[in-house]
Amino acid sequence: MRNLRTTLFLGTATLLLSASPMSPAHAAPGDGYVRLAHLSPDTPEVDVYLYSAGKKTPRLVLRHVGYGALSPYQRLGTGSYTVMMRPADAPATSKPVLSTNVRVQSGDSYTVAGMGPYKGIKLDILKDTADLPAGRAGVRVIAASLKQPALNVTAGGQSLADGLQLANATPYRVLDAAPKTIRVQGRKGDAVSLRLPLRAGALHTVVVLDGKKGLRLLDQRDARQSAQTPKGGVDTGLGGLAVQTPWWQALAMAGLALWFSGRARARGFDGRSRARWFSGRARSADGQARPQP
Amino acid sequence: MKRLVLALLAAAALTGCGGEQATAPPPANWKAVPGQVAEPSPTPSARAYADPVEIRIPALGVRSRLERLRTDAHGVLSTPRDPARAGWFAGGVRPGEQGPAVIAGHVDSRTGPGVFAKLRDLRPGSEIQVVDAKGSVVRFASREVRVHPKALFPSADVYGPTPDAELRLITCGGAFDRARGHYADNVVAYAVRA
Repeated sequence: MRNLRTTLFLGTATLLLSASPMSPAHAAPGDGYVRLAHLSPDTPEVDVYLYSAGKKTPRLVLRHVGYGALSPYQRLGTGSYTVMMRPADAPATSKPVLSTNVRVQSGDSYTVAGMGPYKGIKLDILKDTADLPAGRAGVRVIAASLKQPALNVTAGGQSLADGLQLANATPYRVLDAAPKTIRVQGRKGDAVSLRLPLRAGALHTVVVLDGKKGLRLLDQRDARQSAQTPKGGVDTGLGGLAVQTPWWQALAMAGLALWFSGRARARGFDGRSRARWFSGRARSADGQARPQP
Repeated sequence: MKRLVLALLAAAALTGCGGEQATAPPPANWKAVPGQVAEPSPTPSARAYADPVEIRIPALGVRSRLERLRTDAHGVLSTPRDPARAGWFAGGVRPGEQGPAVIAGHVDSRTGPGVFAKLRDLRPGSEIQVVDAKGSVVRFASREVRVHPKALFPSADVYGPTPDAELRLITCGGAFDRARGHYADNVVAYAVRA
């Protein structure tokens, strides 16, 4: 026990002293991304407001956002934000018809969408990131059609959704990274398809909307990650610029080490002395106080 | 007890899990419009880029042709053969396309500075230019530089999904272990397409 404690003491001192240009690891938070969407088939146009939580002035206003519109991703610092939707051209100070808070975390993407029929419209927050196995792609489906309220979706013969209802989103399904035909079929047999060039590491969202004649499919390329992820870091340095420990630092380290071990020995730093420090008495197993031997 | 409940409610509101639905009576002319046809916003078609061949960082005086880097038998990213030349990770994303493109370069040679000797000093907003094999130039703006111990390398941050075209420049830093011949840390500069 004595040796372990001494070693830890000396080890810490050595580490602190040998800090040759030891860089402080930045804990700076990164950014996240948010996009806004209007996916309610029978809701009229809205103005969308994005506020930093607690602020009265919006940092972003999108005007006359109609059914089927998705904004580009907005890069935002990590933190809390409020999204409000008001009827198009309603005053900025009027009460919103929809409001939600979204917490943005570093490196994550979100879609904040008005979903569902007018009578039950709600603001949903979808997380747009997923872990993909190396070299694969991911596709999810959002049902936003009132005319076909239940959908069956396949991709190259593989089922992505079965009876997906309006205002619902599937999770990302993992697929091979190869061009795939997405086929969407409603209850009454109307079918529509879209060819997706799925690249390795890509995440797509297919939004099913009401078009002029039947269903309309929208492909959103949500994000892409590196097709391959190397293990660990990179050895990109050969030492030509490395700083040597200055002689005075090495001497100080040695001096401190000697001093600490000297102090430890003088104090009789061993198991027996600990008991003495805590109290003059020891308690035996039966709880009776007995004088120290 | 009441204070605890209020505090919990406030916390729930702030964390936004599932979303607050603060609805209000809408204006008189606000009503359902059945039979709407979707008007999706036009999606700008993604521009394709060829493999990158050169990187320039004017603020640091960096101008280098690019080697192609792959992972070795252990899955670790290989390093450029020439300390004066940076390398692009060819198993990942091309600079300019959606996702995180990665370029690595030595901080030093055995005797002096390498191509990325001053990477740590890259200030936010500095421009980085990457030229592809067809001569197209993609511009990036540096956002931040972070230092990570190699033992805790943030692979998800560096190689993980991004909605836009981004770039990560990697070199070494921190303490140099002479016995092993390696630096302890990686310096990563994060940049986004300008």
